[in-house]
Amino acid sequence: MVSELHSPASHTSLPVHKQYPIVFNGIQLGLGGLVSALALVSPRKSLNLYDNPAAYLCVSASIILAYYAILAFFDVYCFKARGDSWRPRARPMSARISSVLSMFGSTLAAALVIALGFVLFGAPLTTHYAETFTAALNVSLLAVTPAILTLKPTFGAYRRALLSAEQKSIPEKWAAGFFWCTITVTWMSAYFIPMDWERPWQKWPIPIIGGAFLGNMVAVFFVLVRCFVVPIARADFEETQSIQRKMARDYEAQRGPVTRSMAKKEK
Amino acid sequence: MMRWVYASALSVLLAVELVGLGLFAKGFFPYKKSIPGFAGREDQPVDIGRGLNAPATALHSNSKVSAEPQYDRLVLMVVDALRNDFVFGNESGMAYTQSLLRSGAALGYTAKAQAPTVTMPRIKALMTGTVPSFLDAVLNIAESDTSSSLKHQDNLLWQLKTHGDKEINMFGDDTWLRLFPDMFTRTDGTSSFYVADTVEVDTNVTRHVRPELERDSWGVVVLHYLGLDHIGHLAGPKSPLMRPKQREMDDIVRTVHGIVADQDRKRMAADARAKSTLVMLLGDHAMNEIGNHGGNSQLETSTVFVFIGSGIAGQPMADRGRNALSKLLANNVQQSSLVSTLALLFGVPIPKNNLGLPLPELLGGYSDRERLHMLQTVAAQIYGVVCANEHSAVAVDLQQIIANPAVYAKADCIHIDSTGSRMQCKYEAALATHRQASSNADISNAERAYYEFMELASTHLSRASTGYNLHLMSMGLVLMVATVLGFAVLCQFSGTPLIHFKSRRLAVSLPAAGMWITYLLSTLSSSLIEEEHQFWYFWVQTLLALRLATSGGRYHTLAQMAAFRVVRAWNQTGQFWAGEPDVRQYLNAPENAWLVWVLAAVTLGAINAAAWALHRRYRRSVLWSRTFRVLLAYASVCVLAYHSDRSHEGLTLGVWKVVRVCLPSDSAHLAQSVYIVTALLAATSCAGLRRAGAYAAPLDALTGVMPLLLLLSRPHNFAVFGLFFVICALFFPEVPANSQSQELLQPSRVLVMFALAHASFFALGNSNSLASIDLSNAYAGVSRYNEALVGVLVFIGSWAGPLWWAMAGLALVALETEGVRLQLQVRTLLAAAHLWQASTLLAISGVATMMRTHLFVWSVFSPRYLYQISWSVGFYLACGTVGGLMWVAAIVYIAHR
Repeated sequence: MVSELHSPASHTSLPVHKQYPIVFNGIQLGLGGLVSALALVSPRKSLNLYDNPAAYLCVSASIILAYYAILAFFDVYCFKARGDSWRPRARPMSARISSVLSMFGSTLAAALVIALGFVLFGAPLTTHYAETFTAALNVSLLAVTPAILTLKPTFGAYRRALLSAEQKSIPEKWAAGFFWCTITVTWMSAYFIPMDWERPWQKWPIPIIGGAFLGNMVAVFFVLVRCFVVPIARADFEETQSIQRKMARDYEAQRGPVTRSMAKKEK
Repeated sequence: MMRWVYASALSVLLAVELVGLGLFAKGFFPYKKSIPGFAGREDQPVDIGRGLNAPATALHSNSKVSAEPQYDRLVLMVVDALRNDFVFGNESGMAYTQSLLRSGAALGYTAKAQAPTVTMPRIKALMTGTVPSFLDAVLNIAESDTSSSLKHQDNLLWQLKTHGDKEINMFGDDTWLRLFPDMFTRTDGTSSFYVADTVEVDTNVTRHVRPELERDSWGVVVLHYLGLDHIGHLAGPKSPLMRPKQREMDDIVRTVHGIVADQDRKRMAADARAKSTLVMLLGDHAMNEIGNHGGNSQLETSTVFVFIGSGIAGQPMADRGRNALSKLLANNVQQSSLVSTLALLFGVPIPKNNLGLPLPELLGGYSDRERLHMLQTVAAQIYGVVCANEHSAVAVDLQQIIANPAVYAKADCIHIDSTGSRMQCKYEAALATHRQASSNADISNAERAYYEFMELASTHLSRASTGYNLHLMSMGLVLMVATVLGFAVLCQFSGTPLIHFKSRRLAVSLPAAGMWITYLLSTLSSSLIEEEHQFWYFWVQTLLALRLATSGGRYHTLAQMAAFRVVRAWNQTGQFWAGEPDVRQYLNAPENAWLVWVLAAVTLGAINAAAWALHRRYRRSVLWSRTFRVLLAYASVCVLAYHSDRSHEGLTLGVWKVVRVCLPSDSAHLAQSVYIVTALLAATSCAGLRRAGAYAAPLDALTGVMPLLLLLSRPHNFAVFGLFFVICALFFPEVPANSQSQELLQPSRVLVMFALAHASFFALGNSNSLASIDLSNAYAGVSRYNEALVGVLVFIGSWAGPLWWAMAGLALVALETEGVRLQLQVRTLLAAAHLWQASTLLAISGVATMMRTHLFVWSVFSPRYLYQISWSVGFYLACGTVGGLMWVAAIVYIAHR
């Protein structure tokens, strides 16, 4: 199951949590959150989300896109690096560029699908094209690009990771976590649009964007727990148990089987 | 669970729910309490401003000096739904009225009406100066109701008749005749409910104008024109008929003004004491962008007052430009100010329950002392209403105030907590200032003090107008809680249980639970009540998207989502986005009329084709099947003819004329033949069934009921029904979930259809505002007014979409399950539907109780409550339970015959 993905199948002897560069991934997770927070900071005062949403969203999208482009270029996205090695694999330049371009292409395609979804869910059909598309691009970067960089580029792999309820490997959990958390919070944030509070941020597509970024932050914590904390804790627990069992076996081997009645008598 | 146990449990629960609903409604919608009796001359207070030297004892004597009346006679010209821009706007056709306003011979105001903006409550407000109770809006529709008459309530007309000694005549809307029995000497009532008629209703009034005004004896004439409102209902404020109608109204203003000016000259020459005549043009309410009314939006509430008379001292407008009148669009006054103003101008006592403030500009003809006394009179009357409603306000001792006015005038009223005492303090301060004004001649101070008090009292009293019966309401709530629990238990033990206790897991479909909880939460938000359609549109797409995700991408579902997106764009509804461009507006533009008929014909053709296809697929005896299809085709053509006849841009094709000749010529007969054919269709559908096909029979209903539903809908909505057909057809065949673990995540088809049923209500242009009740087809085939029949037709017309989807849901269930399992399935679904309905009713009752002092209670929560009653009782109980069960029983009976 794991071997289907870009995961080190050869290290099967190691416990699961040792297969992935934890420190490295942790840094990247934090960095990703930082970048998405940075994308919300506007370079100029005049360029803000309220007055000029499309331009602002272009800027924020390009910041995140640049971050992912660097990761794709150096091939250091989570689960790509082997073992605890920080050194990237040696790859020809053309392969690096094509991987960046394919990331761009897939993100754009996902953005188009998401924009279609927005329209189906009630986004304006004849106006606000720029806003709808740039919003979809941002949501796509936050929700889908982690999957694009993690999963094999086949329809089956995406379906398995994002749409199925089967047992998933850790990279698949990573992809699905980002996807579903971001999409769900984005979905919820749409409830703010029909409220009659008459706030500037209720204008299309601002609530959606807020929801997407918030969802992305939720996703960071969620995958942190689901892909790292829980597997490590479980592995540690299993390791401790196996050590205990081993100690018990050793003890038995020394003293012969211990029964409960004997233990009582010894008291 | 046994059949009879289920049936009795269901009926007991429904009975309990109805009782709870009745108790709650009785406590929540009370008839308004008002001070009984009529004001008389003796109620007028002693002028507190008379010279300081007047002996204190004189205050008790009867030596009142009241001002002379300014006018003798009154012509009250009410134009239904006259919005302010129809008179003051640049697009207005009322040139004569505008010229009067420009020259200063008339005074114009934008009069703000309060919700509910429908005729009867507005007339009540105009004549009593009160804020009528919400229930009047409902009774407005029940034409024969007489319990809401003003026979026993003090009103302006009674005062004019009794104390002004005037003969009052009334021509126009017969609502007045019901409100004021035995008030009018000469009358000619017009029923306001034939909305399709825009000409006769007005000529019926206009033919009386000249002969009646030229008679000598009259004192008050009320003319109520309905045509403008009818045009609004039929075609909206931008209809091509609108400007000609405004010109017609303008001509009547000119005629009336000419006649009375002539007469006044003669009368005043003959009798020195004779006063002139006041002509008033006013609207009872206005209309929104669609032409409907009832709600609380800016457009619906902005109507007009135009005072035309010889004593009007308006300033001639310096600016003669086109936009000179546009500032009147913002010159807002309350509609209730009419009563006190007219009562003062005609020198009659002010009706006891009045809350309106007199308009200062109109009192310009009186001396300062007289004017202050008039304000004192109105203030005293309003203070009477304050005392009746607020226990902390007590009668004021005039002697005390006269003794030391300085103390009272300087009292600091703002920091008094109790509203009643605060208002008393304000009133005393105003009286004291008035008293002081008699010595230092500082009139404006006293006037300001009076207006301050009256504004405070009026706003407070019109808001906190009703006393709720909390005891009844809480009893109702308790019964509703019991029903909800009961339905939950019934749901658990009939058919598939909600919760598997043994396996310790929820078997509830997660989307259903999510939707239920979100919906109950959304009732807390007034904007999500106004914009409920957004909730349903969003959830239909969400459910479909979930189906798409869990079935691994099926183009069927994607096509359904696309079709529904189009449905959503058809009718903009709600409050906030109601005026946004939509397909309906596009279709209703005169140059696109052909497209309406093309879409209508295509839809009807598609329905007939669907009937052919379904009959081919589920075979039945040839003769009956053919009869069915022929009848369906005939009914379809009748529907098309009915709508084409009623439209101003009907079909004019040569071929159509040939077809049209073969049909009944009268539109009422067309509608009646649709009713008869629908009944025949039901009979043929049953008669032609073979045993094996019984479970396919409900599919016939999906096509067979269509002519009836389309007859009661608007022509531009035909294509929406066509899209519903497409969406429904795309549900077949069923797509299984990817894996077992996702079954709980996949919304079932019945659930999506349920959401579609609710969404379709809004997709056809309805909303949770009373303004969207569509009366245009309520009289299809009804030749005499029949309350029950019209009510049923309005219900079917408004709930056409939900009814069709409910049938689709039943057809689906019947097609997929047979025999005993069908009964079980129907029981579960029915219990679940009632759980939904009862919990929604409970939630909305709870919210209405919590928000009972909220500003929005009458404009948002109460209309929503009425709609919920229609959903619960009309849709779920009458149609869903009674109709549905009978239908299922028929299917099962035929299958086992």
